[in-house]
Amino acid sequence: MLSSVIKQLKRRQLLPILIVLSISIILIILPLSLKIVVSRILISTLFYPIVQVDRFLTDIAHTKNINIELNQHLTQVSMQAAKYTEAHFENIRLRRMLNFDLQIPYRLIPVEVIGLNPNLMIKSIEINAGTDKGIDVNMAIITADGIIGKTIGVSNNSAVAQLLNDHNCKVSAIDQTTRAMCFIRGAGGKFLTMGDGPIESEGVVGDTVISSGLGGIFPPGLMVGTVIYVKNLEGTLFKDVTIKPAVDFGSLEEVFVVVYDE
Amino acid sequence: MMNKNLIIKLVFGAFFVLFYQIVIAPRTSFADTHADMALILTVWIAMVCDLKTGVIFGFAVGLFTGALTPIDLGWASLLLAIIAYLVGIIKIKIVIEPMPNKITVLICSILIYNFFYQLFSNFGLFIINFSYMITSILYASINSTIVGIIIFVIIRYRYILRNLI
Repeated sequence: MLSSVIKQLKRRQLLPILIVLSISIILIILPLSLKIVVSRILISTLFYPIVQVDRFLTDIAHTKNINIELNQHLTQVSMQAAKYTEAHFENIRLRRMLNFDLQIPYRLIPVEVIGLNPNLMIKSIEINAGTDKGIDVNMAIITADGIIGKTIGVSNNSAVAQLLNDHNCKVSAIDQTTRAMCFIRGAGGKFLTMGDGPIESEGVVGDTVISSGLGGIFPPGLMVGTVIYVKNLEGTLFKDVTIKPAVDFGSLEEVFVVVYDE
Repeated sequence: MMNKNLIIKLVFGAFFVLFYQIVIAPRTSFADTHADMALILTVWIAMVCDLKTGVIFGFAVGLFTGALTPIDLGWASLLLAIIAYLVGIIKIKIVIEPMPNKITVLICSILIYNFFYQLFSNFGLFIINFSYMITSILYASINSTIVGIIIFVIIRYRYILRNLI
């Protein structure tokens, strides 16, 4: 009796097992490329919300680790900052003891360029600040890239600045590599020239030229440009040195005026 | 025909299996192995439902979990369907209602499933490094057995647990 029931049950319920076995065997013998397609379809549809939860949890775990690392880094940086602050005050004390003045007695006033000289070669600009903001003639105009020029005319709320590529604008400069002193001025194009570069100077192409601070207009150490051409002038004591300015004079928007504190 | 309530429970069970395999299992591995929730729930479904339901559930969750490793696609669904069928047959022949009987059937199912799954899907490795594979199978079986017993107890005594909570 029992065996016949089991046989009948088996006969009836054997169909689903045969179907699923057939499908499974087909899946097993499928080429790998098709298996990947089937897998990708399932993962991108049915598994998607679960995979998102998994990613979220993984991100949380990573965030925790990154947080720990950043905290360690912050602690180190804080210790370094404390050390540098101490060194800074020590520097001030030592300078006082040796009667050295601080080297940065100026501040920067941010201004906007409101007008450009419409000539073929831009030699001057107009800025939106004048005496109302403490600006006077012969004040340096700079950007983050380097020196631009100096103010040559000031009104109540605007000023005109002469750019460095104007032949009449001169900057006392120094070759950062050879430490040779020189004057830089406009070369009549978009480049600058060091026309009176000493012949004994060993300056080469690629040297960086910075302001020397002599003259009292431009603070020392500001970028002027890079040497791109050097030629010995026969029969003279000078070299002809061409310099590419550090600043693109054709795309000036926001600049800074250097105002020396009294 | 299966009733609506049972279908909802089965779908929920299948999603729980996927959630466990994707989210929980990688974070709860033991000796580089993790419990196979697809197998545990398939055995339980095969014990408490009729034979056809167990086979279909085993096939479905085997297909889904097998999709996570495309190379072995099909093996899990095939073996889980066979395991569900065998458990269904055992249920007809012997009384497996007492908990110790259920756990014994579970342990046997886990051992058989793990052995044949590894044999078929990693046949080459099985020949080359038999002892390693046997060790892996044992670890995976222990892992699945522990989690399986916990799951069985929770499902079996869920009403008592709910009242306690």
